Amino acid sequence: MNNPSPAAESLDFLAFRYVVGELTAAETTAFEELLEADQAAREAVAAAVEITAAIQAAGIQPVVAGASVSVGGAASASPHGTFGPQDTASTPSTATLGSTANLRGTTRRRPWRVIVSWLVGGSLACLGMVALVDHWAAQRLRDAGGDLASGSSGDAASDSVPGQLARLWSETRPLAVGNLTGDSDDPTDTDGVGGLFAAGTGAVDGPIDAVADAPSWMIAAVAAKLGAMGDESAEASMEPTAMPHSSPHVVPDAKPAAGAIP
Amino acid sequence: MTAEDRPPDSPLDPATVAAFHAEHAAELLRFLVGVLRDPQLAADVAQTAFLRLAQRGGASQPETRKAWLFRVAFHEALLSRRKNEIDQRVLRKVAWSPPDESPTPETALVKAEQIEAVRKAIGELTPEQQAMVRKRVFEDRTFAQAAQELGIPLGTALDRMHTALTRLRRKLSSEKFGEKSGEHPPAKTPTPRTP
Repeated sequence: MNNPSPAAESLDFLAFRYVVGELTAAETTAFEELLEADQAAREAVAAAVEITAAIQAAGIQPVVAGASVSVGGAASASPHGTFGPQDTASTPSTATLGSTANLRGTTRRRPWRVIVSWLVGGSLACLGMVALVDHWAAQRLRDAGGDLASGSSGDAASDSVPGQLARLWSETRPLAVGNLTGDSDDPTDTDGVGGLFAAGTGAVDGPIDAVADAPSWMIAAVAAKLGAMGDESAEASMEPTAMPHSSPHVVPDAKPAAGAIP
Repeated sequence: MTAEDRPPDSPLDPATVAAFHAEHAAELLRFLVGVLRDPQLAADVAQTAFLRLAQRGGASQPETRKAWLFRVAFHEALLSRRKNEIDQRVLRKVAWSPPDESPTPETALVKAEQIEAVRKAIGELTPEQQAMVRKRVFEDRTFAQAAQELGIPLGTALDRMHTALTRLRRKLSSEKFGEKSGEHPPAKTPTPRTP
């Protein structure tokens, strides 16, 4: 800077020019000699850094509510636009103090904003996914309900999902009960027989259907066997030393099922 | 035992060092950034300066202690700058390193309220002064380039920038010290000539 104006000769402005790197080599050497000796010059340098960083930050950081966005009424009069966040695009990505100084922190986008924006975006994406999956599952249920309803009575009550479930349960329940009462191969399992006799008591409804569906010869055979077992146990109770061959058709070690005879 | 009686390398008590750090660390950092143009290096030098204060500051006078600290920091900064220039020359020969994206100490250079104060003060500048501030600070033009682009003499450009900075600094000082008028900034601390 060869022709500074008289006003530019003040210490503050000299410090500013030093900070932004606009002093010649000779002027820089002279000013640093001044810095060696004069505390006011040092404080002027600190003030110049502060004001420069504040100006840069004022033009880059978002405007707080209530603050002036532009440079007042002068914004429209100025051919160079306004101060504010809209200047970021026209500002170099790395703000500088002069040609070499680096104030990265005042110009870099704050990391917490990036984090918050990612969090919000991720939350919205998750909500969208949940809504899509929910919609898809409901559609699948409706489709399945439509198929079932088309193959059955199709009354209004069975169109609903709970109604379809109840109807399915009622259709499959006799099969399950039949398995329980007739399919057991375990000779110690008395549930089947007990279930048949329990049917006579009317304690449960399922075995009633099973008895009704059973062939008559099976019922007669089971009744005869149980009757023979009842006679044997009666004889055993009267003659504790009775010979086992008194009833040749009965298996010697066969025991009456506990609770089988009501 | 007064400060004059203490040996030159007598340490300063930690409480005084801590109080001094709380009061002057930010300003010292700004000063060092202005000298070094590198916030990270400035932070390192500031730490070294406070270490020197703790180790040898016992002999300094309380009224000149701030100047003593800044002078020591300035010497350390010049040493560090020379060393850094040598290191940079060596590093440039070895490899290129990407810029560090971690948080840097320069974020402590200005506070949010100062930014707002400056923003308001910019709004009170004349359009010509605003244009000059924009050219020089935002667009990183030199004064000569800014003057040419604005079609004004260099002296006029310097004068506008000087006036704008004075007004902004005054506004900043008034906000800092709670003054509303903003016409008279607080007087600077005495500027002792350090030996």
